[in-house]
Amino acid sequence: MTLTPQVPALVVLVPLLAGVVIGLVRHAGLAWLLASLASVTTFALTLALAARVQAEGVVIYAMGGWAAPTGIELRVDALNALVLALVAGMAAVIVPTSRASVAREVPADRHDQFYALVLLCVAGMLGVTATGDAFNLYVLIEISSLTAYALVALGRSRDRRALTASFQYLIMGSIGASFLLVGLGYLFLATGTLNMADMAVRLADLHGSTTVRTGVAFVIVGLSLKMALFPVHQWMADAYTYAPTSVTALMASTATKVGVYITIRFVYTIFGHELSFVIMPTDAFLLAFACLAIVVGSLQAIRQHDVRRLLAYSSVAQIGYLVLGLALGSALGLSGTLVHLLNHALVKGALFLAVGAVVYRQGGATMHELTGIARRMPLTAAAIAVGGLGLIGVPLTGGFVSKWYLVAGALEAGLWPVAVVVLVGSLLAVAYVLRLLQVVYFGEPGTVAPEPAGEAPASFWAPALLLLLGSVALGVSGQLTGGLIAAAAGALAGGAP
Amino acid sequence: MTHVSPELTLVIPLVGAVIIALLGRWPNAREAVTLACAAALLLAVGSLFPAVLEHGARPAWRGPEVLPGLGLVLEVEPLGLIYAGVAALLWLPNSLYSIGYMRGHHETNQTRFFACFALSIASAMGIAFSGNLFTLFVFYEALSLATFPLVTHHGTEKAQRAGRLYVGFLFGTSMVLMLLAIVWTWTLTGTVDFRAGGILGDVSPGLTAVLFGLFMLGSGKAAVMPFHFWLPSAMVAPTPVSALLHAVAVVKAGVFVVLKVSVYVFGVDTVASGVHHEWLLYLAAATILIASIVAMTKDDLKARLAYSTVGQLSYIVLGAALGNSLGVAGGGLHIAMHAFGKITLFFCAGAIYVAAHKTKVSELTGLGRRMPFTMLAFAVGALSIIGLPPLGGAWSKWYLGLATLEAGHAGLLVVLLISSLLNVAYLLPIPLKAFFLSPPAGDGAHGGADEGIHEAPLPCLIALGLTALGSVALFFWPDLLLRLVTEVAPLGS
Amino acid sequence: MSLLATGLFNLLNYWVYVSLMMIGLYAVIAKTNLVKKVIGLSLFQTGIFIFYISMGVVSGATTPITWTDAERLRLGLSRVEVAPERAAAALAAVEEDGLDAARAALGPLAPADAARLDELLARPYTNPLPHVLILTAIVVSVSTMAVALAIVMEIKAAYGTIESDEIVTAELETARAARS
Repeated sequence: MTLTPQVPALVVLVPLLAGVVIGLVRHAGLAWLLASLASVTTFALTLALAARVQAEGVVIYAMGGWAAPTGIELRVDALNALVLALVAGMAAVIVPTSRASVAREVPADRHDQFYALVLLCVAGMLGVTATGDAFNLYVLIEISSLTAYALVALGRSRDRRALTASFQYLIMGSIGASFLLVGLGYLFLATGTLNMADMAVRLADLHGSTTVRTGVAFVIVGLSLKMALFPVHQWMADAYTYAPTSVTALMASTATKVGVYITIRFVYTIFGHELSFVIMPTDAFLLAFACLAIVVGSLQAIRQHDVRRLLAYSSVAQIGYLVLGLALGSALGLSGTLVHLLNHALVKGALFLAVGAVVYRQGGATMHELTGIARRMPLTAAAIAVGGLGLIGVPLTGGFVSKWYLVAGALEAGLWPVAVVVLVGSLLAVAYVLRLLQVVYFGEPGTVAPEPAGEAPASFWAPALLLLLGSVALGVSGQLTGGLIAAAAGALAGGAP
Repeated sequence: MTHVSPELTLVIPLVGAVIIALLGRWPNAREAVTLACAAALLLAVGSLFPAVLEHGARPAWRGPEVLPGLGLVLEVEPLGLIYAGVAALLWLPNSLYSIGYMRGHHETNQTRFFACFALSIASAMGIAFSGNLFTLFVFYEALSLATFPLVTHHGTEKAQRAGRLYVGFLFGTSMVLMLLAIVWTWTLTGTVDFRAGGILGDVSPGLTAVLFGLFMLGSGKAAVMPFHFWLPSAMVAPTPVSALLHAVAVVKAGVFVVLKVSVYVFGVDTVASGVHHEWLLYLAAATILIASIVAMTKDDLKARLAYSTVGQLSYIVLGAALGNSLGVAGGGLHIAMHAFGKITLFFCAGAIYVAAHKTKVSELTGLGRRMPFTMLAFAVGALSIIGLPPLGGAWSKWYLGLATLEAGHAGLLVVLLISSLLNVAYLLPIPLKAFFLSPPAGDGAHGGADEGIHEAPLPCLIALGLTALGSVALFFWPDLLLRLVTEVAPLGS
Repeated sequence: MSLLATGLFNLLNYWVYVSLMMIGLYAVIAKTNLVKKVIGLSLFQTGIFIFYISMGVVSGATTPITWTDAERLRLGLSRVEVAPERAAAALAAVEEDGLDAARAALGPLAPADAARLDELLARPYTNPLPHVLILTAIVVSVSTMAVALAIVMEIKAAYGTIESDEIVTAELETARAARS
């Protein structure tokens, strides 16, 4: 039997089974090796899947041979093929290179658990992205979330505040997922199906139903919690600050992106344009909070002393951009969201890897520990600099392209104040990025914290620079972004979930 | 006639910056590279002049597309050639001067200084030859980034505050206002290319007026009040940086954007007829007068020169806002004329600082006896800024004056004249007092207080002598510049 | 008044579910004791279980297991008033010719009885899918409790307390000590 038809299932099963196996090996090195192999294999599988979607269109896989709507199906189109490749790709870059960082930040007897949890978390996120079944989505969200809570808590050996951060994350995450569950319940009540494609068809005739509208409201609020959209973002700032750095790098570049993907899926494919934007004021709701997220998140980031917290608040703002684009409800806005999704994943991943290098050398990542590190750690500093510019969205990084689309989308919709908010947000990004760069490049080393002994191992800066190269490629290659835009247009047309 | 491809003008300083950064350990080799690059750039830009003027060529280069139909494009046109010519021509004396100043003053981080300087020049070339608004924006921001380490060169609290103001004003205006205007233009017209006669033909007058305001205020480097505060505070940087800011690249980039956008996005006729542009005229006029008055109150020499620049830049903004060919011509000429005059003044201020450690106007009395050459050059520069023959500044003011009359704003001519008088009042006393008054008495023990002061290092003197001569030469041979501005804005009427 | 009463009574399950959710949410937000927060979360999720279970109910339907026609008819006959010999004839007919024949053999019934019987014969069983779903959700909820309680234990070990205000105070003191 050939494995090719099974690729969609393998994308989820490989990391899932590997996670279970790793949990049993009880050997740090072996756990790392298996986890690396599994994440790289998964990435290869997602690429193969993406190629197949490119060639054949939507790939549908019935789990266990049970056809929908009885069974659960995986349904992969251009949009989620992209997100799958992104999640698996980030895992394939971060997991194999995380060994030195994990050795520094996680107790040695927990390494097998650490890698097991990471792979289960990745499996959950991949499943969420691939599935075509709404309830299955909820269960997989919880798999990735439960493992994420535990991963954040593993930061406790460095700082006990990781525990409270993890607890807060758990409470907020569970409430968010429960809201989603309630919303799905109402939608199921109205449509009698959990298959996303079926649900989309049946919802088209039920626009007047109060039950449906209640369900939509619950789903949107639940997803906002999961995405850490302002004002329910505080858990993310704490979790990113105290989790082990490689966990933060992985989560910052994947977890929130998956949340945004699900929101796109619900708003555009399942609810459809009319239900989301005409009957329900989803756009006004999301736009308002997205704008607040951009401004408040950026302002908070400017005030931070701990660089991880600074980057976390910057993520709050960047999620604002992502949500803003999808709430515009136009091809331009959605293109902006998709480009930003990719770019921000690459840039934030790289920045947290670079910060991990500083933690490795300096034992912490406050402004003190970063003072003047450019002299001894030029490559890490370069990664921070290029990543910072990518956050601002200077021209020739992917951030500029997405910002361009978002501003153009807002202007096209006649919402020039929203366009101004996007631009003011990047101005605030200039403020916090330049403050960081001033410390890194022009600070006097050795004045507030000891000067680093030397450059961090290549396993820190090499992947960071690789990711940034991707961001720059996104910024200069119109072809690359052109492909993304095609995917965006496909999702907007609601052709297929 | 052969000419170089326009992208070479970016490649030369870029490669230069990399080599300079690598040669940090060998200062002599490093400085040699700077000078060689400056010379090479001058030749490269020089070769473009005959091609554009004699043969009407518009050499172009197309870079990667970041979005469908939106990419990096360089295209040489006459207005850009003026700006590029000025920047390339002044890089050489400025490098010479920098070497003398930085060494004479034992500055730290010289490698970073020279590398960032070369990057700034590369950005300036990109701005000058940009073929569309996107390219313009890219290099405009690159220039802000490349000059930021120069402004904060000393790393002191004061320098950092200046840096924050610098970045805040420049990025604030460009990212919020200019970028908004660019994207808006793109959504309205589907293009961001520069075209003779403008691209906003189909856009409603009201929206055109909004875009005009966004573009004009968005070019924060033009330092139109109230967006001028960054410029005086950036004086904390070493003097060669001030020269770069005020003459070679930065503020000229701002007014160049104002001119270029007026001519190639809106079109001269649209500015005059279709846009509510009067407010900009009055804003520019107010900036001219207020800045001149503030300059008179400043005792710090560099601060006085800084406010002088704020006023002079608004001459060019005025020229663009008048909406006729004479105004554009005057503005284009003033880019060059003011550059030569002001760089001479800054070179002199720096030379006085290096040689005599004096920064206050009130301390310069009688200094002409110790530093006659420097003070003579200062007088030449001052006269050019004031706009008196036989110095270059006379031409640009002449055209701007004609333009105000043609536009029917005689009141603005009065503003120009009053401004010239104010210029006389705050600039001329400096060389006069230096030459004709005796130095203040010393404390008795060491004779005169100026005892032991000599002229500045030779590279500095050569540099300021060259630029002063340039100001004179521009008066006698303005033909080249006149022909360039005529290409942009025919003066036939 | 009667409208309110019917609304309350007919939708009792839903009122219960919303009340439980809100009580749980209140505990999560207002209680400082972390274990009480976890209890609140549990209540919150339990409310949702009731919601799912309620939505599967079909009034007057049977349990969702496989019934033969004869079994179904026998259940129906036990709920209506019918003469024993007609019932026996109907049961004989269902063995031979299926439900329709049996219904004919039964002859006319009182209108209320007829309606009840027809409903029972037509709508076979309650929807089991929500129940299955909620089994999964219960598993998820139990896992969440386990992780939450594990974290609370770790917090107790690290801070010596599980009162969130005392934890905040402890952190503030740590920060103050680090500064001085």
